[in-house]
Amino acid sequence: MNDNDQRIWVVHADDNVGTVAGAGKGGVSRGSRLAVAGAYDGTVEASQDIPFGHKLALKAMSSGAPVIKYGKTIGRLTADVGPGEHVHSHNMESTRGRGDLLRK
Amino acid sequence: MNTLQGYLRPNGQIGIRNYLAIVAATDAANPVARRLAAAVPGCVAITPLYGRGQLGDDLAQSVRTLIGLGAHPNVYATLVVSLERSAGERARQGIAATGKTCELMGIQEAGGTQQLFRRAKALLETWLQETRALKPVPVRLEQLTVGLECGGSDTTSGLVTNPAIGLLTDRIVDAGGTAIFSEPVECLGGEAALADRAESQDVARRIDATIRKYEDIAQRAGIDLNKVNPAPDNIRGGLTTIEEKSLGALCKSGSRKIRGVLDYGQAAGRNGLYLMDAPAAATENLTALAAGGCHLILFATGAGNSIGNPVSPTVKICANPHTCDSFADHIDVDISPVLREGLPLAQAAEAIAGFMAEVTHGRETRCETLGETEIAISRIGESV
Repeated sequence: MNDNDQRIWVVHADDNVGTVAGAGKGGVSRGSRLAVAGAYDGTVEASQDIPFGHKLALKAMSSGAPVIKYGKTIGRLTADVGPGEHVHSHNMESTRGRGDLLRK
Repeated sequence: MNTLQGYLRPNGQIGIRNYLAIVAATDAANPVARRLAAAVPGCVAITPLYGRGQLGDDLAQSVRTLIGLGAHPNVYATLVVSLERSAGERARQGIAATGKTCELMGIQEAGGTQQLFRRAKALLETWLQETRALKPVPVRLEQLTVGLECGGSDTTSGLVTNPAIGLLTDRIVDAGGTAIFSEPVECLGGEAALADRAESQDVARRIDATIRKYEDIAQRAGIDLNKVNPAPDNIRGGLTTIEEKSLGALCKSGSRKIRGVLDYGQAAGRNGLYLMDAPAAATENLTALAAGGCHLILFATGAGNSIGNPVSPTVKICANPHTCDSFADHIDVDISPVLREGLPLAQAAEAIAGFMAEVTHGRETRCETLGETEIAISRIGESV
């Protein structure tokens, strides 16, 4: 794995997460500083190991905050996250099709 | 766009293949249909399960879908087989009514599957000879109906592959062609953008109702839809929620106005872009798109999905560098250079358009070469 081959792809300027999606097949390692591509230029540091294709927080956010990708809400956080943290099933959830929440 | 070609049917439609379809109208005929397809070149077996003991809307959807597949423009002629002739009569009539050459054989009337096999093989070989005399003609993009599908998705599907397909969808629609996207459950979260693209208020209402129908299934069952969709391969690939998957999936529909909503397996009456109401599971969805007359289907995959449709050549397109290497046998168009080398999306769309043109000239898709094709007609009622 070579972190230099990876980028963080940000689809829309309003997004608060980016995706590990560059030339390399592997993910990124904790502490790597990664180029941001797509909606804007810049860099972001991964605060933990993140697999290819997975999301990373672009800033600090609180539990319950909406997760924004494509400029639209794709779910909400279930835990506080710091910048560069992995955002996935362990700390975010869907708000659609949640029949489980209607159950008595 | 590279030149396209096809075969002019007597009813004025254009086909890009000269398949001979063997449609099993009852599942008892599936084994002999498969043996026939294996015995005669150019044959495809349409072998859904069930076919007896269905009633009401469920029966109507199954028969409509069988007719759509048997009457498909890529099919030169169709043989319907069923346990008894009467069980296949509705399908035969529906297919023949479109002007397609269609014969019906019953296993009982033939005196068993061995007898039926011998008679059917002779008939199919006659049709095969006829197809060899057919000459292709040039085809315009406006004469094509293209299905849009994604399966085995991961984040590269929504970032690269579906957006590249979307660029091509816009070209097809702008040229006066027809494109059909489906999988309404994978529109959850993207409703507002779709409503804005509806051609009329009525279409906007139908889009909304069609999408809500699938969310309501999970609500009524008291189940978290996200435990089913996104699927485990989607989640491994970085997709977390149905909303995230949807917003990526919708990119393949491009940006043009949506002309209408089609029922399961229904053909589009006019050119333009349509949403079809069908479940997202790949085999069921491909079956519905093909029954709706799609000449070919552009299928985005990320984690890898091997399945295709027997009458609508299914083009697998992938941008995930790992999958393009490890699952190469199943990938027709490798657009991983978008991630590997920064290839512009417009050039990826061009590569897909080029491959699509080659398919109309007879180039086999991986699904066709490998025989990775299957049918599943969605059930909407119980058997009795």
